[in-house]
Amino acid sequence: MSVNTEPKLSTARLVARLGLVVVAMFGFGYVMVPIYDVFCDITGLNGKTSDEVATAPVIVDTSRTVTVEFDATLNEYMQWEFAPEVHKVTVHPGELKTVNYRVRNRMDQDVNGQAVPSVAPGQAAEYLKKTECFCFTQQTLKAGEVRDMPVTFFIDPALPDDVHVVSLSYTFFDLAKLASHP
Amino acid sequence: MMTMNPVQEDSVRKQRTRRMAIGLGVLAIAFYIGFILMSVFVYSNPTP
Amino acid sequence: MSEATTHDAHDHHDHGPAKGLMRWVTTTNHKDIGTLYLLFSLLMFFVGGAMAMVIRAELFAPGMQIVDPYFFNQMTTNHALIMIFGAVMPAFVGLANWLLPMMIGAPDMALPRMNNWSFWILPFAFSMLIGTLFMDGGAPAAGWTIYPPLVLQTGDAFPFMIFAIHMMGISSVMGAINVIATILNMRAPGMTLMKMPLFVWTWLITAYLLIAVMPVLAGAVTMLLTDKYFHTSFFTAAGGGDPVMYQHIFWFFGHPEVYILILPAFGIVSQIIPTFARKQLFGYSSMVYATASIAFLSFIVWAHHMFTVGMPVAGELFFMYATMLIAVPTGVKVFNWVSTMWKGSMTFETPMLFALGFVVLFTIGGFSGLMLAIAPSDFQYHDTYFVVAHFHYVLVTGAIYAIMAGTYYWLPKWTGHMYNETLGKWHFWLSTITVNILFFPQHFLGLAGMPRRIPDYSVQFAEFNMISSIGGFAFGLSQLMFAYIVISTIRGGKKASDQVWDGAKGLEWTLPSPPPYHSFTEAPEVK
Repeated sequence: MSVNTEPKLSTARLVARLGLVVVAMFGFGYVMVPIYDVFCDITGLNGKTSDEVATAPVIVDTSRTVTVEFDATLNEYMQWEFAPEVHKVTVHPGELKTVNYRVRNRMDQDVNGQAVPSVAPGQAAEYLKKTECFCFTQQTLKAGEVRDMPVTFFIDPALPDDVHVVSLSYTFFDLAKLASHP
Repeated sequence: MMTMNPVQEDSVRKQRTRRMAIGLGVLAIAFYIGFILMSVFVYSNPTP
Repeated sequence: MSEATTHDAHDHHDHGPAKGLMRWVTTTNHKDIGTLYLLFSLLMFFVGGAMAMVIRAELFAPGMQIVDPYFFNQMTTNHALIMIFGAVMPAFVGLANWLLPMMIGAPDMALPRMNNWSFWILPFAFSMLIGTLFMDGGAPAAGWTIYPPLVLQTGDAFPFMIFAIHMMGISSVMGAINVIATILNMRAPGMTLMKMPLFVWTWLITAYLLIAVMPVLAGAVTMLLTDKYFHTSFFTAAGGGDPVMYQHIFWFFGHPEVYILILPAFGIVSQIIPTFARKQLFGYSSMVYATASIAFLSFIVWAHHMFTVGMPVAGELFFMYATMLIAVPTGVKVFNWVSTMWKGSMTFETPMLFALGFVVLFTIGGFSGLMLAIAPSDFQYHDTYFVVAHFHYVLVTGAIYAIMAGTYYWLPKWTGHMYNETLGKWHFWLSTITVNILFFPQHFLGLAGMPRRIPDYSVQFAEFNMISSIGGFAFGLSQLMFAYIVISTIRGGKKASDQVWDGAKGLEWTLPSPPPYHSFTEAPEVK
């Protein structure tokens, strides 16, 4: 059937090339994962805060205040009680502040948990810096144990002027349930 | 065409098309406007 | 030849094994496979439609009356998966199988054995998907977009759904490769790319979209699978993953996918309107370029499905403007169709009626799409019935109307019999009136704030839901006429001429009706 005048690939080579595109696009789906992470790291989008320990600030901007709200959530399988001691504080940018979260293990066994932070609005995420946080490491609570977990943070004075309220939310995950179940 | 219409003069066909288009257009516009007015009635706030 | 063909296909689906069943299992003929695809998609259309009837019955009045909420969610999820992957996509592939070789002057598809395989995967994929309805924990119920973490709570059905999606993907990718190989390598002498009928062009572009994005979906669902069973954390926040990333990957597939569902429809309508307007298609090359631009733009607009996840303003603006840009090539197409009809000598047989219904109603869906594209107002519309109304206008009165138009248009060619024109017209008018009663009020429900995917709603939504449900039942019943007309045309009817429609142009009309088993054993001359 190849009576056409234009030069063309043999069907086998064409199919091989198209198959290559298919494989490449399957790979591309996976490549989107690191690309997305790098993109979020650089831009601080998506409310992801930095995992790194920040160094304490030098300058305090007393000309304005920012309200920081605290939120606590438990993942589906987590059997703890988890709440911040205060629901909001007002700080000057650059001012160091410590807030405690109270956690109680309601289970009669030890539970290994990991808290994951999220900041809203997303644009503020990179300006909320933590010098100390219970979310930096896994937390193990014995059966029935109660603990106060501190987070020490400051707002970077470079925070855009139009942001007046920043919400910091933590979700605690049960790591054992996570590994065994979904 | 072979099947349903005897061959017709183009002008007759065009005339009929125009009448049909205008008729259906008016009908369709009435349908949608009627529906939209109905939504205004259903969702308008009753005076307190 | 083909008359016998379609008879057997019918027997096979209705009465189980018939004489010569193995012929259907082992066939490599493009017409046989096209028939199988089309009948399969008709069957899935009614399965998915039955689920829609359950949904509309539950939503007939506020409160819970017929099904429990979890089953309701299974219905919405499977209705969508079956209609998209089981009804619309196989129907387009079936049309491509039947028509591409006949339109470009080839004897068959380029890869006939792969063609057989790509069809026969589908019944297994959908048996697996529908089978999950009877499993412990029920069928998937997280919506067709299968967002984590919700979808990870699916019970035993989860791996079945994932593998069903893999199989559907493999089937479409193989179909797409076959289409590209056929179009690029099998054209008759003189059939240059810019002489190809628009249906061929739109399918070529659709096939490229398919091979580009179906593998991305396969990757996304594989990540879900490993997240659930193999301790990876692609989308689990505790392990450093992010559920929002799933949405990005999914919609990188999902947006091109919606154009996969509509571009061949554009092609069909571009074949039908010139025939019944008795004029050449207005702006052929602009149609080709418009299709290509829509395909290109589809890759850079995905985040408009997720304006509300929290994006920077710059991102929202980019995706908003890029999305609105798509209105330009789409507008070119709509104006070209209208210009084709301008001062044409038109007649209104059923295919033309459906094509005209497509142009008008698809445009309504396009406009509501523009409303949704406006990021600030999308915060109000997101996940409401407004979205449901929008995509049903573009998929039911868009994609499915075009498939029905195409079926009425080419059915006499395929079977050698004329369908019953009176019944066809009744089918069109009943469908068109009821589909508007079904979906138009859903715009109001959405604007008033009714969320989608819920089995119960508050009383202020009662009136329009009842109207919508009545329209839904009537629309569902009207489609039985379609099945009756198609089947009775296959079985017999007035003899169709080779030309069938006196304004029809193209190589497929030079063949007898029904066409011989192998279309062009000798390449035709193309002027």
